[in-house]
Amino acid sequence: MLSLDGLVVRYGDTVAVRGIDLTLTDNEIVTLVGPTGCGKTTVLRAVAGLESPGEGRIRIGGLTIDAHHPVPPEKRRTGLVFQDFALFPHLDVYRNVTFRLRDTAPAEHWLTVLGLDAVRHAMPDTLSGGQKQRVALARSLAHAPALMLLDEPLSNLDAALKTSLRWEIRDALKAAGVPALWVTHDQDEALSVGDRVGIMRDGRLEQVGPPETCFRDPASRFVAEFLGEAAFLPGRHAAGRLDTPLGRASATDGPSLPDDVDVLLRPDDLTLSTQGDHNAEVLNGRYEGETRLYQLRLNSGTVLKARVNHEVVLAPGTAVHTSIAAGHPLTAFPRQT
Amino acid sequence: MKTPLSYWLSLPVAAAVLAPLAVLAWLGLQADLAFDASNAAIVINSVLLTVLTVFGAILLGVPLALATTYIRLPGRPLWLALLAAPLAMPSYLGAFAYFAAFGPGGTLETLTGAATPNVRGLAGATLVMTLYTYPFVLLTTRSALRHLNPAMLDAARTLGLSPGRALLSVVLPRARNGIAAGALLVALYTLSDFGTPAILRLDTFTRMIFVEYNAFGLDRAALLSLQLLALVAVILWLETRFGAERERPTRTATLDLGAGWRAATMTAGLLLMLAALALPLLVFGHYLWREGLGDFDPMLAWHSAYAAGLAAVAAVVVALPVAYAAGLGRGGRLLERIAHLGFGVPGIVLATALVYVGLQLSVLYQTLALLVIGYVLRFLPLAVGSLRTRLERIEHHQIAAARSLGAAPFEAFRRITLPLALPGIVAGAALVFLEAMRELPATLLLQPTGFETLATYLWRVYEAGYLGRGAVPALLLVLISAGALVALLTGEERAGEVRGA
Amino acid sequence: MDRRTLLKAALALGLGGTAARLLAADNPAVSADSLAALSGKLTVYLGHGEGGLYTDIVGAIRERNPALDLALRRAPSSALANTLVAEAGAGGPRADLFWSVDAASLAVVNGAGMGRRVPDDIRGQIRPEFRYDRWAALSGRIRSLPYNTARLSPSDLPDRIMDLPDSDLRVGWAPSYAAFQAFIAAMRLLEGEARTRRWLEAMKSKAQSYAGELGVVLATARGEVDVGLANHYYTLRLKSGDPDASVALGFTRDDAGCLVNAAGTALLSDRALPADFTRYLLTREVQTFLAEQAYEIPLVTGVAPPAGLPSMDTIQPPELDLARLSELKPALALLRDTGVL
Repeated sequence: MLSLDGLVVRYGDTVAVRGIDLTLTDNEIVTLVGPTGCGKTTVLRAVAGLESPGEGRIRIGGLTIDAHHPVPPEKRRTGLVFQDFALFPHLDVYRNVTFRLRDTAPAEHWLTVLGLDAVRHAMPDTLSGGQKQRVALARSLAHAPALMLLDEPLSNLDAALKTSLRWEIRDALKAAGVPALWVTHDQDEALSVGDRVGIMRDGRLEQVGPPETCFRDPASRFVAEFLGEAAFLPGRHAAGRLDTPLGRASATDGPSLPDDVDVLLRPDDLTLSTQGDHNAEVLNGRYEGETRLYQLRLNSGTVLKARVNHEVVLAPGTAVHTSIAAGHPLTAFPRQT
Repeated sequence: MKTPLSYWLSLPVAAAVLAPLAVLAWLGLQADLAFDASNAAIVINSVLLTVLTVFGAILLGVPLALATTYIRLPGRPLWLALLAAPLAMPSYLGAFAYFAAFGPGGTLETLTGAATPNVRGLAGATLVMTLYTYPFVLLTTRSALRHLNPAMLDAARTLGLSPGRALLSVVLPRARNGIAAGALLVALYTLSDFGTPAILRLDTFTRMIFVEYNAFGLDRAALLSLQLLALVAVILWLETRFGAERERPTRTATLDLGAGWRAATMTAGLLLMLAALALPLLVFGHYLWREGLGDFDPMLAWHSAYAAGLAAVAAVVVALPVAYAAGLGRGGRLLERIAHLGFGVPGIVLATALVYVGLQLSVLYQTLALLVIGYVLRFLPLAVGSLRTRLERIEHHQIAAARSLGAAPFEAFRRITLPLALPGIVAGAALVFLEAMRELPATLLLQPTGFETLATYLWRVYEAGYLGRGAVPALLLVLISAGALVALLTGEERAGEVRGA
Repeated sequence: MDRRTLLKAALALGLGGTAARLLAADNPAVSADSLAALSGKLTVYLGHGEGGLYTDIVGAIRERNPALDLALRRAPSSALANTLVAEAGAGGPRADLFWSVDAASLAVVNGAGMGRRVPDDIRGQIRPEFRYDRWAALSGRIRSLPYNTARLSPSDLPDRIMDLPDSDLRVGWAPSYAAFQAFIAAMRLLEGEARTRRWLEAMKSKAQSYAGELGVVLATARGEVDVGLANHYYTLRLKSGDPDASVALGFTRDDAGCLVNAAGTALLSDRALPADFTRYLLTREVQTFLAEQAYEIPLVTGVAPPAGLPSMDTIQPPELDLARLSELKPALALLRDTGVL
């Protein structure tokens, strides 16, 4: 298990991580996501022992690490997987995976599980990107880490490979039964592989929680916008109910809200129809395969997005009727002026 | 921030380089030399020779680097070995060969009857120095080219540039670090070379230092050395103006420039080999044929190889922390610059300073150890340079990965850094070996009593006028050096194969 | 020198006479056979190696004296002299004997007070005009004017070195060479500062500089210059390798141009061994070898000068105390002032 307690990391005068609390249990996978420079990779490096904490504590298994009690990376039993794979170019696949193993059985196991038996004697620079990442993963897992750390493991790979490898890595981590901290800048990846997602901004964790919670009930406008398409529709709040020009909904956290609010609308919270009372105009549309995403301008001037079945084809300029269709409570934020 | 271990290991190295320089300053302070017209002429000659040689070496080295990297020449590895081979020829042997071959009554006139002009002075020294230093530029530029992303070249061509224009406007600017590294070596080598200007009669710093030294003007020699060191410092500073850029290589591009270019390249290469290798071999062969073998003791070859071998090993061991530190930050860069100073101090002056140092540490005095220390101080930059380019290409992530797999720093160093740096280690050791084999003035002063080498024997017979007796040791020196060169080139080739995965 | 050493020396030389007799007369060179075997450890600094020739001498002495543990260090004379001065400042010289081809280097070492007094029996073997207190002269070399035989005949050469600037000959010289610097030092002593300065200034415009005197002789042979200024043996050695070379020896008379300089040894320790070693160098065998193989002029009586060198009777070297050649500094100052060096 891993726990971070008020972690602060500085590079000279710059503070990269400004106090982070986070705990991972058992075989939990937590993804850390955020824009470039938010400090997510620094958190990972601090846990791995590649940066030293300025303040706060890191606990890995039975180890407690802080500024006065440093523990070198090799004593932390963390498995580190890099964006650039960091395979040892002078060793073949097998010798990479068995790097420090006396008992090679775990290496055999992971080579087989990750489908690397055929390339076990290949040199790293002859492998494809996906193979390289599987080797890196096998190498880390074979060394029986107490904790896995993955630093943008998929960002150097093709889009098609990304999705399949996402599941493969998740399954392997689950099978190994170790907790993992997985850093990414891709919100789809963060939402789909993490048991929980941590959204970072400017050295701080804005929110940590199950993907569904973070997506549906973001703690801030930033989280809302970062995790997916988001629009904010002015409305009114009264006693846990939200009243908007496009319809009504219940509020996720009613009592604390003021009267004037902005309601978060995701594209799939809206319906769209050419029938009925026209209250919006189509600005443009985007074909997404199974769905289409339309950008609409309400008569009030607010711009929203709506996602509909791919069979609904609308030309720009078409007048439409849109309304809130979500059956679940919606999140609202105090009105911004 | 904790001071890195490599800094602690580099500090004594820097101190060891600076200690003889302190002796030099002390000796120089006792001189009453005013800066006069003859002194100004020395500065001008030294600067001119250095600038012209660097220019000439770039003019030869860069096109040859491009040709051997991008053009599909038949027998490409052989061509590379041949074109780098002048490195195996000490420039003083080349200078002597040119001195003896050209001019009225020279070997060429004796053998062919055709009159040839003299090779001497600034033009002659530039010609000879260029012929024997351009391989530095060839090798460093080639190594830089091999690590360029060839996609750039492709991109330039799709944007409508001809292959030649693409090379000029896209590839060369990116290889400027490699060119600058080679030019630095050429400049330092030229400034500190004694034999060539002495034989071809050009009053440069090294020659005048030698003259003063022999006229018992040790103080004046020391003062001139300090002026020379200032020039070296300027060159080192200029070199830092070229910031390092790194690119991730994928594959080596090839250009098919057609048969015309191939033939032109090969003709130029052959002419160059004729000038740099065939001519000196002809001159020595002629002397050998005329005057016979003499009483040459083959043990000398072993002495040379043994001392140079020890120096090569010691230099890479000492160079490792310095090269490592250079990659870490400003302090490390400074330590690395200091380590470069030794290359600019003429051997005789460095050796005299080391005699004073050695006399204070009498266990070292006149031991093989002090000779090896002298070689290491003098040629450390060659090892540091080769190692640095290799270490720079090792991904920090690879070390981090090894550490997180449970390897302690030393194990990570031993199992990852060291094997990945091996081509650089081999290349650096080979370069130091080459230079130590041929080093003369420092060897004369620092060799253990009774320990003669090929270079000191050559000096002895040349000094005494028995030119024929020099032929065998000269050929042996070239032959053993050629062996080291093969190791160097093999290292370079391996460096090209093992890349970041 | 004490009587015991004298006696021992006399015995070693196999001569029955008294010490007084030894001191008084010019003794013909002795044979190495008459010398006692050398034993013990001896460190020799040998300035300039003269090709393999001095090696051959050292080799022969080693072979004859198996108990002699001889360590030899070779480097340019000036470098060894500088080294010895540095050593003297740090606990004393590390060598027992300094064997130098350059009298000025010996003078520098003696200037630092390192040379011991040469035993009288050794001095007694050396030709009287080459006897010095603190070094033993071993072999001579004479300044010469090697000339190109295709362009000149001996009569074209000036008789006096001071007349050389007035000729229209192209001259080659090697001002950075120790032998040349000693020659200028001699000229300054013989002709005076002002005449030497004028000579240098007049010569500067017509002289071609070379790195060494071998280069001067080679250039003369190939006709680059008409005449050179060099020690005599370079010409003889060049001719031995290439008998057809168009160069021959010429000499001036009774001036610095035909100065006879000497190589020699300075004894750096009070032990008997360095003196005994010097005695070997003065034997008939070694002196003959030096004359025949190195073309140097023997400085003991009874050994013939090298072939190719005109009889010593026809050459009239100037009268000059070689010890005064150690006054090198004013000569160097002249060379620098006139821009020759």
